[in-house]
Amino acid sequence: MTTLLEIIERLSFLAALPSVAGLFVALALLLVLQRWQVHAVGMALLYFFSALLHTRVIRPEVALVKLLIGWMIAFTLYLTGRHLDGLRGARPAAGEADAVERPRFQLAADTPLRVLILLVTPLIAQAGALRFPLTPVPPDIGLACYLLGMGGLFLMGLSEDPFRSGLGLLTFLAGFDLLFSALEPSLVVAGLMGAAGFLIALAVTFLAVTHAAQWEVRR
Amino acid sequence: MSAGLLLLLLVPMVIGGLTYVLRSWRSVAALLAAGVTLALGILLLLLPVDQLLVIGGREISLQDPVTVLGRELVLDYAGRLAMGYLFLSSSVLFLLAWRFERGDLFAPLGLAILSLLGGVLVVRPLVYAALLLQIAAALAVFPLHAEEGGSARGGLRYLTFYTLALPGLLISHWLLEMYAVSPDQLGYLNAATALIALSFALMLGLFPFHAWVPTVGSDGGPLVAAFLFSVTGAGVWFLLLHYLQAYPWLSMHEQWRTTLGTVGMVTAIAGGLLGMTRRRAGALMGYAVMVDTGLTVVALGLGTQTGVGLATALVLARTAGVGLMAAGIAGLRECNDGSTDLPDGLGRRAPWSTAALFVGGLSLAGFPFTLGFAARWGLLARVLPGDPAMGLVLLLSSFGPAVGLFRLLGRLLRAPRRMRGSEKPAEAEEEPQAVRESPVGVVLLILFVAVTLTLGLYPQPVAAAAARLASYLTLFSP
Repeated sequence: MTTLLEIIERLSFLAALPSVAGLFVALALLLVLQRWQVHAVGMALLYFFSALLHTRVIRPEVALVKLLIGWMIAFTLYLTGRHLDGLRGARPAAGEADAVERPRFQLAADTPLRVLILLVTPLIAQAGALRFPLTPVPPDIGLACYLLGMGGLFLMGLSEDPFRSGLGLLTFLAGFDLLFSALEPSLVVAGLMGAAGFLIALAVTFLAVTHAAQWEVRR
Repeated sequence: MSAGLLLLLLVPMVIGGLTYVLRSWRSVAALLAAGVTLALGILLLLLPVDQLLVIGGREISLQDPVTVLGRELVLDYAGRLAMGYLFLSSSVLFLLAWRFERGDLFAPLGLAILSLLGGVLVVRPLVYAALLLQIAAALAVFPLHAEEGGSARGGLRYLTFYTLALPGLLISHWLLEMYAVSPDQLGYLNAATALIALSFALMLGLFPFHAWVPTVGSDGGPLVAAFLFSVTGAGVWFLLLHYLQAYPWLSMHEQWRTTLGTVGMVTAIAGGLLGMTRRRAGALMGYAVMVDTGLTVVALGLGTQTGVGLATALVLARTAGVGLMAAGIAGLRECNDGSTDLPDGLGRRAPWSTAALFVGGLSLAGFPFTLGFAARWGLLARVLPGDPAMGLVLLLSSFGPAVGLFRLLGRLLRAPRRMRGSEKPAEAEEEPQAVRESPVGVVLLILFVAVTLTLGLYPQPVAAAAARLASYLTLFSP
């Protein structure tokens, strides 16, 4: 714990605009790319930079706990992605025989739209931060809150697949958590927010597996 | 002396853990859950306010405030009645789940959700209630989709709308604290009002945030969906009443009556119109709930103590309607190998399930001589003289789900189509393999249909309970 805290303290110089840029990169991984491995990494990065920003509004120990919960969520998503991949690989559907030959990083048909949305998201976030500034937090953290909130909403809206939509829910919640930690720094609230976030992640992974099982049954 | 309130919140959670261990014996788990919730419900409703409970020589008080992690838990009399209602409704649904629920997570997680909803009703400040509600919503997803092979859309939408509602409730708390410090800044107050309204609109499924309501009905396990519509929905409703009590300026807003009247009416119209056209029984249940919610909001918008009583009566009556309808749907699905599609003529093979679906649906639609009728009649009697157009629209919107229900009934009772090249109807050909209704299930359905119809003819107990609960919530003048 002490070592992790020391690492976070050393990285505290990043806890400003560089972290906001890091969040944008994480959002890009979640929004544009389709691979579940990338999504798990994206979520881990998102929680890392979010925890760095948290250190400016709450005690570093609490920020560290938030980081650990976030990484547990990312790990849960990784395990679910792997399980779903196994389900899909085990029984390719009729007419999907070439699925195995698919390139590893194939871009989806909606990639241009997703890139456009990714580019628009920081603009909307910046406009929101200027027009309706979140006064309880410093401006760069306010911008990060808007960025995560908007990114989460877009992720939710772009897909009805529980896994991808769930990433949006978690991203949205991470953005709100960043703001609310500054408003209510109590440990009980931090604990309840962490529990809620982790349970949402579990519910999302459960739904993703149910969703995949539904297609298995239909086959 | 022990703090009974804490015990009251912990007992369902502990029994939930026990039923999880026993989930392989679904009957034992469901009956245990039904028994415990029934006992707790009766205890809460019948025990005099200031009487101590003596268990094993220990005195237990239900009314003493408890402090947990620096937060106060207070069970006032209105909270007691509300919690008692939640326990009794859950008891009914757990009992029905004994015969009609296919998944094995309803009893354990339903009990855990009840504990959390109990926490929602007693914790102060209300910011913690919002977080507990969010955790309950996340837990609800698991039993909702415990049956394999169904669509996961309902649970996802439910979770999404509840998550989107969370920030508004939490931020409004801070905004109100800021307003208390600087009362000249009306911006804080207006923003808090807007956020609270938006959050409750999302959680109650008001138009245009209703997308999760029919989807939960059609995609989820019927009885779990009924639990979310009645028990969790009632939890949200009682939380709203707590908000109105804690922040009286909310209901004193000059636009209160207009806003709630309009939003409620539009929700009822949307539910009525969409419910009329639905073929799937679960979605129809969802739209009927939408109409009911719309009317409840209109009743609250009356801005009188009678309005609160009528709204509470609608909420109380909802359990009978959705529970019975859900049991009917589950019984029909059972007779169709668990498939969510209910084919033509299925009702002939499962007449009691069809009857339960029909009576439950009629009660939910507020049809005369059913439990749902009395409160609607009371509401219409108050709205029609002052605003005939609105009253007429509300009356017509109730017909939507009823029309959908009659269409569904016609389809279920229609003679099955003959197979090509066969003289016999399809039903006759399938007869030897067909799954029939279980006798115990039929007895349960007959019992609940009889209770619903009897309470429809003599609604005084429900009306009196609603009026009593409303009288302890001093929101408006009589």
